[in-house]
Amino acid sequence: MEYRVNFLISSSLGLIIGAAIHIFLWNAVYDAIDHPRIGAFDRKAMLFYIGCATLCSVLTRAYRKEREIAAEIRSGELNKYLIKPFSFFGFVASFSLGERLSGWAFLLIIAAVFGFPILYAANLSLSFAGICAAIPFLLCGMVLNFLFTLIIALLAFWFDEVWTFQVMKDLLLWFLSGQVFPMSVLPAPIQQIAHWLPFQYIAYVPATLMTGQQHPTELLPYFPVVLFHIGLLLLLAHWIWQKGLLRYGAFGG
Amino acid sequence: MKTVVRYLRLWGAFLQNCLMREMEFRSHFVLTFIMDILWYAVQLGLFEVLYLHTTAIAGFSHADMLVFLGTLYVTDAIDMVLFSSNFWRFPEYVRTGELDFFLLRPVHPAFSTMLRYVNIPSLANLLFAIGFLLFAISVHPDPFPLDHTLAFLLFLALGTLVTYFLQLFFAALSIFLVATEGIQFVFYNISQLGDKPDVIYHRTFQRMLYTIFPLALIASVPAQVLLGKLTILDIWWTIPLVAVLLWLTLRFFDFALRHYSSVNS
Repeated sequence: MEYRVNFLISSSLGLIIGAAIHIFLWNAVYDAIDHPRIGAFDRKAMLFYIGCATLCSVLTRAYRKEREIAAEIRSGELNKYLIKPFSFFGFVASFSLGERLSGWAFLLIIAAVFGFPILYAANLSLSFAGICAAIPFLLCGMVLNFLFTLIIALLAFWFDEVWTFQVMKDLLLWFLSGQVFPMSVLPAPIQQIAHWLPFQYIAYVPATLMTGQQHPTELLPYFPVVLFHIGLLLLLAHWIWQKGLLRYGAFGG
Repeated sequence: MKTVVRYLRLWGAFLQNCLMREMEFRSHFVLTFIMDILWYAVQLGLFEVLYLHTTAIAGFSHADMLVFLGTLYVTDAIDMVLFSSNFWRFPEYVRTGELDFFLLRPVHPAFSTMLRYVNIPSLANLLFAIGFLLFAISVHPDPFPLDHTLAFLLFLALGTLVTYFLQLFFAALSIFLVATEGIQFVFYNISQLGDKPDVIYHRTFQRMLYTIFPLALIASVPAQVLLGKLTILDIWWTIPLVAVLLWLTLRFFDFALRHYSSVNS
């Protein structure tokens, strides 16, 4: 319960304060320019996008369990999983899913309480078709973030501490996922590279679908790409796990 | 004066002890350094993206923003060196009862708990941050008069005090609460408001950042003083304000300690 409270405090403040900071920042940018649009975004669309992208990044963020694995590897607590007749990856995935389901419900209530009055006042509306199309991408974003965190945690087989890697991952996701700006405002060559990286599925793609900036059919070709990334990361995680187990001394526990 | 010297000598001993510990974990040194450099890079990257589309943000030109970022990096590095790792350890002291040992020592726990561990890798980041700030100043088209620089150093010191007492306040709160990590998350999230120039915020928000949660005093105000956007006459009142808030926080910390019940007792 204590950890859940921590998570809910962190997530809800991350959502409200994170969105507020970047909304103020973009608002200041629009105050300074003498043309109404940046790329395809006018002021209202940009602020709406930032709110939705922050929500997406909070919904897809990593949870406690996958981070804890590093400590369990170091302390030898991993032993308790190894002697049990189930898949370790399956256990971690189902544990994390359980944590996420309760977290999602709370976050969506917070988003609704703060978001709907703002949407109403600003005369904005969420695209229903877009939300339906965003859900599979959000789930993929969640799996991607889970796998990034898991892979880093498994590095504890080799490193004394991996929290610095986790922070670096969080910083890269903050910048490259589209949480603080839409990828379409980047210069064209960087956009091209970003399209082939897995990060944009965590915030940019679901947020542009929710806000109606992109039609679901435009993003349909990206679905096999995100599934390819998930497959690749899954294979990598499995390979690291196998290599790590060969190194693991199983001391302590 | 004797007390100040005693505390400085004690901090010197903490530093020496941390240096010896750090020598044993060199990979930690490199990784922590890289992690902070990456934080600097993404902050810079965000503003570089924004300045692709505008020439100024809330009155800050690109050159002004580099000076702001340099100041932010320096203040962040000072926090990382002195307080941050101690603040993250504090709830653990409460949870495990280790706080008892700090209470037994003949120095004030507000000093020994919040300054015990010096984050050595962040000293390298501090040097980098100072280098970046000097670079930002050198490429800025306007001159930086001596009085601006002296006022900047004064407000940088004031900002460091703000960083200290805000974390001390949240550390004291954690004595009352069981879900202590939550308090750290609250502080971490709120403190992000200080990572941007305060002039981007709505007036009411801005006032809060100068008074209730004086996060603007950490990086935004020193940077604006250096740039000549604020003068001492504009913000002299923040000096007594910080003194009062520091005094209140120390009293609150003492009050919290009186309500601390050791887990070992």
